Amino acid sequence: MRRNFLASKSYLVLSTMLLTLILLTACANTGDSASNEADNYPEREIEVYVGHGPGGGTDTFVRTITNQMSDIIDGEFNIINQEGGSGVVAMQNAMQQPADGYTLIGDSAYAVTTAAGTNEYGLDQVVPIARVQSDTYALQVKKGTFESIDELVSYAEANPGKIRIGAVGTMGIDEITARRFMKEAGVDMNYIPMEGAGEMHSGILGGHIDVMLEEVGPTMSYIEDEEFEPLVFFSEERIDDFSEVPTTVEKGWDLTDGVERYLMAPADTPQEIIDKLEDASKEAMETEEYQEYAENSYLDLRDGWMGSEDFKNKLEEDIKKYEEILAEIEE
Amino acid sequence: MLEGILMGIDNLFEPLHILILLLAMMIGFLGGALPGISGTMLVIILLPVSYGLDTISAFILLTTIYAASVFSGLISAILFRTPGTPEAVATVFDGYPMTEKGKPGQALGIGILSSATGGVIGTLFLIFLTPILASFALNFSSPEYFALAILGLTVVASLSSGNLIQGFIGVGLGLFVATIGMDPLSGTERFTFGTLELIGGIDLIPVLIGLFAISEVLRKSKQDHTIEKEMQKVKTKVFDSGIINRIKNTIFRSAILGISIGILPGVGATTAAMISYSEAARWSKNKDEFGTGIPEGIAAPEAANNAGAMGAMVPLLALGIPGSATTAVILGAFVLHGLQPGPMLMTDEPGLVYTIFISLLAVNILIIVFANPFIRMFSKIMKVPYSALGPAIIIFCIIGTFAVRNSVFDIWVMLIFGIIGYYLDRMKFPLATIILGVVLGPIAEEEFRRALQMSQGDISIFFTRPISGVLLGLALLAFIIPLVNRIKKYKKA
Amino acid sequence: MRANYLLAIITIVVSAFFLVVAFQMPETNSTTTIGPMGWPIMILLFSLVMGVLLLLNTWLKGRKKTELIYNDIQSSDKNEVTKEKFHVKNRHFYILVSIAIYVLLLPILGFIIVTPFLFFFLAWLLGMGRLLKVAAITIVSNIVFVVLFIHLLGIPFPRGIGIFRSLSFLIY
Repeated sequence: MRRNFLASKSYLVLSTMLLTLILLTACANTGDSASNEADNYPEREIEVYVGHGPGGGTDTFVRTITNQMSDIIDGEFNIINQEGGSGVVAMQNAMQQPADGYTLIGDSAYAVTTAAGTNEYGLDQVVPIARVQSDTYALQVKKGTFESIDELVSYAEANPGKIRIGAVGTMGIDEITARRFMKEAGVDMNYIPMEGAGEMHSGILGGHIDVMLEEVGPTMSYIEDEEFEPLVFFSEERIDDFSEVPTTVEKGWDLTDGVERYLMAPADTPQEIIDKLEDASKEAMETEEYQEYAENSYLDLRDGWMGSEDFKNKLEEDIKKYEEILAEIEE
Repeated sequence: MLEGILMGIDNLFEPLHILILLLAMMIGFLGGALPGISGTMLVIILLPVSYGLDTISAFILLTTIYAASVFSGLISAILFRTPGTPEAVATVFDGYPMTEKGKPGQALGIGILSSATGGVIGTLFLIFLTPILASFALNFSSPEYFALAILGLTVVASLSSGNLIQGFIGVGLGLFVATIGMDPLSGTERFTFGTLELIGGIDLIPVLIGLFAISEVLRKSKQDHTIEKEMQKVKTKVFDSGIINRIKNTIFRSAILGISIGILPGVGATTAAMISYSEAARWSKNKDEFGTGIPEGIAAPEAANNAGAMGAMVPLLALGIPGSATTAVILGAFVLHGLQPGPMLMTDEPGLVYTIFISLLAVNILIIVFANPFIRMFSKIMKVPYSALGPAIIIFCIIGTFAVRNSVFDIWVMLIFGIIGYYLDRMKFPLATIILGVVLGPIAEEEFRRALQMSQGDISIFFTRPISGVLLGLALLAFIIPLVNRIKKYKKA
Repeated sequence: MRANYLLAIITIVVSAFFLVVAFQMPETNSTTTIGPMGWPIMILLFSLVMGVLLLLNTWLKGRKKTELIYNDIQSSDKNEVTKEKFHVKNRHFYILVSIAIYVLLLPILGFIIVTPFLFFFLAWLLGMGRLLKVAAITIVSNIVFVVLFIHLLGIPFPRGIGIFRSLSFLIY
């Protein structure tokens, strides 16, 4: 008798009903009790969603800074990589979690993806904890091909569309910056979206592209080995170690934006927790280990730190700015 | 260089380092064998652990895990039709059929020998020829990558086990699935129908696990399991002279091919395994037997993937350019440890680099030593009745699929392809062609468009560049020759 | 042979469907020479043609040979069933359904809760025998899963909502 019952469809139905019951109970109990736990924060692992691949610039940044922060606030961080859409997929998944301070986001493309519309979470739903890095772009060529930025620009003027300029990705901050450069300098170059930094570097080495938009951090080794040469930096002041290299501002080009890397949290996260994290990240940035990493990767060429409020305002402006730029590019 | 090698050996034979080497091998073996845990994942997870170690120990740990896991992926591929790691993707094609024929031990033995040999050859190239290989790899740009991918795709005919049209449909499906998601070259969403999950596209692993592993579980569930008892004895035999004779050429050829593909930035051991399998099928005299469980079908991908994994270290160590996904993570590890990856690495840190070389050599040699006992332990699992094994495999597949991108959506993809695989299997459809499309499709398309962008629309770029021209010429030949042969056959009949 | 017909028709229909979608894509700014839809359209056309070829080929073959050999594979499977003591018909269907339910409930109930249920159901379905034994093995296996994947490897499995979420924190 028992055997038959277990093999019968009724068993299946019963178990399904049981599961449904559990389901209903779950629905009735949604929502954590909103207790103020900022004092004991963190009580468990904090998850940081990173929308870029492991080993990349943003990922390395998040790992390094959280490494230092975990000592400061006495907590554990778990980095979750979810590539896709330049950080959009990771943002989406992070926002599904409750805003209790145990879910953070590490990003570098927020302003652009929001301006482009692929990211639907505006600054009313997600807030920056702090900006830690403000990277500086440069245009680099294979040593021996062009001696100066002026040479490059005149060649490009004389041969429109012939110079191949490479940067990583499409419709991201790299491409936008490259196109803004072309516009400011008044030249027409052939933009090649590269698969990743690796391909871009080998592209220059192999002579498949002529110039690339890349920070000097990843290419320091090549510069020392006299393979690469930066021709111009996208900043206001000259860089100490590269005092002979001009800046965009000197040349009259209004271009100083670079890649920014930061931590964000859902807007509903208790303010005390955000403040705590903001302070922790500042302290982490000031630690010796972090400074060493920043120096080695040339990430400290300009002051990276910007607090939550200030950075939020900057992001708002940036989003508007990129919206305009994107609209122009689409014409 | 000799100095470096001696320094490397010296470094390695410190007690702490030997301990870490052995420990990392075990971790790599275990992780690779379990479907769902891949070498890349292990390296990512153990990154924080590596912070606490000194630099040399840290990199012995990470690179050894990589090398070990590339090998052990074949265990689950052969025994359960579930690749333990993506690098074992092509080992399923002939590995599992051999198990079905009742010879899992032979399959594993071939896998062990091929992996070890391929790995050693790869490491030797790595040690002695890195600078040369690296500069050769620099000649590759988009046109060459496209040509390589096309050459790889033309092999669909050999993979179709006789059913050519089905094979073409399979590769078409694979190619199409690869286009879903955000187009990397223009940022537009393709076939996403507004869903966020699809923006990320469809990943290879859920498709692979679904098509092969899940469909297999479904198939097995319809069977009587009392038959299974005969297959529980798994005796691995590595040194069978008859087999060795038969596959030695395949191993050498595949290892060379594997290294050649591995050194190319961005294309790694997985692609190496796939292309090597296909090429072995294409040029063999008994090509119709591929897919039925022949030794060459296991030797080719396994020699290639281990060699390719070593090859992927070439651009990483010589130029600071990752040769594969896992090496990209290792690149990040260099930065996290305060090192500057790039052309100066070998000159600035010869101790580290040569120690890595030597430990990789050691790992690949030790595979032969440790594989047997490990497999004996692991294959006790075969004695477990399918009523426990089946659910475990399913759960591992689910976990593994989820863990790739931390995505529940991927589990759905796995399920759907499981259903597709089940029905296609029933009509003896060549599933390998789908995988071919998914693996090579993105490379072919992206590089084609990028190449045209570089040449500003001039299509002759593919033929005027020497490497690209040669590869495309080979592809053309590979396509025409079988056709001509078929026509000749027709005329005779 | 019937299977081939079905495959051919599905291929044709699916290719045609996506071709329509592809052609309807708005002309977005493409910064490259070939737009984003070029390649997919080529593949879809290719698949469409292959689908048609398969249809024709199967039809031609059907006219030549008789269909004795390509009988339903199902009937041969059914013969093997009688040897086992415990067997539910069409198990594979239930496996699929149970996995589907599992994935649906996963974000709601959390990994810790649903996985044992799935394991239990599958083990029972595949003929493990006495329920008590199944329950015991389920518990042991799940502990292994949790330790291995969650504690050792730190993979962030879905936690579920509400009470299930809180429960999950007790374990990880």
